[in-house]
Amino acid sequence: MKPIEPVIEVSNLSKVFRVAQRDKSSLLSSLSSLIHRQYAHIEALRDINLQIQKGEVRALIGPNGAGKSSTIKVLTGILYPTTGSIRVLGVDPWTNRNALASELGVLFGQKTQLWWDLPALDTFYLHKQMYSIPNHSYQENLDYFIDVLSLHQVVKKPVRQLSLGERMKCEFICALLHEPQLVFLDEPTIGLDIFSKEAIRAFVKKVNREKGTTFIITTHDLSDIEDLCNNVTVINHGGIVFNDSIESLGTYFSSRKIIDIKFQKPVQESELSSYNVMSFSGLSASIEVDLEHNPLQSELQRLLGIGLIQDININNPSIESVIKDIYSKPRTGEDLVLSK
Amino acid sequence: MRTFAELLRLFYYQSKLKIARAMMYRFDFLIGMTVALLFSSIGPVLQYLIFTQTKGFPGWNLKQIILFQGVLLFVLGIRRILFGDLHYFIMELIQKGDLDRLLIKPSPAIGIILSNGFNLNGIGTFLAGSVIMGYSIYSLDLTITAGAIGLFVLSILFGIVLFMALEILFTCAVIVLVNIGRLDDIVQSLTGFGEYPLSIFTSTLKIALVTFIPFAVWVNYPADALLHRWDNAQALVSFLFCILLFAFSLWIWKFCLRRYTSAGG
Repeated sequence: MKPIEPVIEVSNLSKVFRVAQRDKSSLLSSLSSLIHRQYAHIEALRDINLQIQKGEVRALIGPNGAGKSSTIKVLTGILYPTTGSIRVLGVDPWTNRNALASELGVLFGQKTQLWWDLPALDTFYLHKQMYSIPNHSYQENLDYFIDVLSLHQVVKKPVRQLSLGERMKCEFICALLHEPQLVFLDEPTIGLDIFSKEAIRAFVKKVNREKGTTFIITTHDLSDIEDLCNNVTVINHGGIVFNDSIESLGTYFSSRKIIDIKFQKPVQESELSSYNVMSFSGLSASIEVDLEHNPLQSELQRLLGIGLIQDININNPSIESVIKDIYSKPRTGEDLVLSK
Repeated sequence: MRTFAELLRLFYYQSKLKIARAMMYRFDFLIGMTVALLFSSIGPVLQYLIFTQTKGFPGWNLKQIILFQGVLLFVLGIRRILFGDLHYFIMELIQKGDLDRLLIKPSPAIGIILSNGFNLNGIGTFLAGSVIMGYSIYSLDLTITAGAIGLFVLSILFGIVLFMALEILFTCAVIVLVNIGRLDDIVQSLTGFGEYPLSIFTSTLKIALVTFIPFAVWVNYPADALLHRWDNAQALVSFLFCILLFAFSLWIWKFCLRRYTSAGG
């Protein structure tokens, strides 16, 4: 689906939290904090500029504490931004939170919306009332989601008796029952087995394709990103450090290549000592080469000289290694501003 | 008005789910109701003892005081049915960052919070209050006119508005302070002032209970309506203050929501 119009426009967004701080863990320090407390102003988000188009499946990733969840909370109107301008579906989410809510679906992978002791169907019906979903739309959507996710019997059982995968599928129905235009999925596949993950991903792709729903996904599971997303936004230290297509992420290290080589006879590891060897097993090796210093042709010629080669593959570095590299870049500027 | 109707509808559906949940654990429900009934019966007995062993309450005879107790239990029952689960729910919401879930719903979050307080165990207290009230009306030989019923219902409604204002302010305090376990006890102790006849208080406290903290609307005014001792001017002032307090609590809520920090993953 070709993106046509922005559903999210964020410019110069920042969010500062005031957090009580204690330097020591001693009893004296605890008692003294009763009288005199130091606060740190933590810049959870800084100068975020972002645009997301209608129909996109966008990954919002970053290491723990990078600011992903804070970004989602500001975009959904849960948190009040310190500075910056935000437009979600054309309106400011803080001042129009209730009106916007009908067009938003949110799934927090680590929190449940379902009533624990009752069948999921009861929660769905409560959502129908809360979102004023007309009877025919409710039944049509419910049947569609139950069919796609194969939940015919599951929705009738008390939620506390469901497996994590089954519960997560029910959470998806809760988030999508009112046909939102924009859906935030916060770690939707956390703790799920491979089959449940596949089912959830297939479901997201189907809804995106058939209903044109825009999805924003935060996840630590890179296979979610590779399987689902068109574009990736990487947040680290509260700021955006990468914002482009998934293909661009794959070619992030334009000058670096991974050469997977299989020898006909075992070779000594010392013969590869001039290379950055990522893995070695005598008959095969995985080598990273930097083409800025030597062209690919001369690297290959050098490798051919080591021994008889049975097979050779040249790839871009894995997305995992790219992301690891992006995450490991230090933040510029001050993290904390201490105040009395 | 539309929002209010939506919230009433939401309260109805949430209450239905809570009843369904209570029925799943029938034993817990029956025990809870029995305990509520037993505790409710202690109040009138205690009042009887206080009344007979002391000089009593000025302006009230024993039968009237039993009626007052009936109204008190009736009001406490309604309060428990409507808002019984609220304090625990609010603490859990804020401390665990679960308020997030409510902030992304199409109805005002504070409305959803208030509509979530339904507690079936309050029925025991409500029934005990109704029975004692009925008995007292019979033994006092009171004539209950449509006007008296109207004023009684009006007082109950304004009492609910006042209690909602207090619950909103409680939520605000929890948002700002996050962990304040004894606040619940403080609120309970303060609201206890509304559970005694106005005549036992000093004139300053009496004025406060009619104006700035109009707790008199909870039990005194409904009892006055049944006893035909209704004071129009005094009630009007209290109702006005109930509305002002409610508006003030909503204003504070909007202010405090900006300070909500949620919780980390």
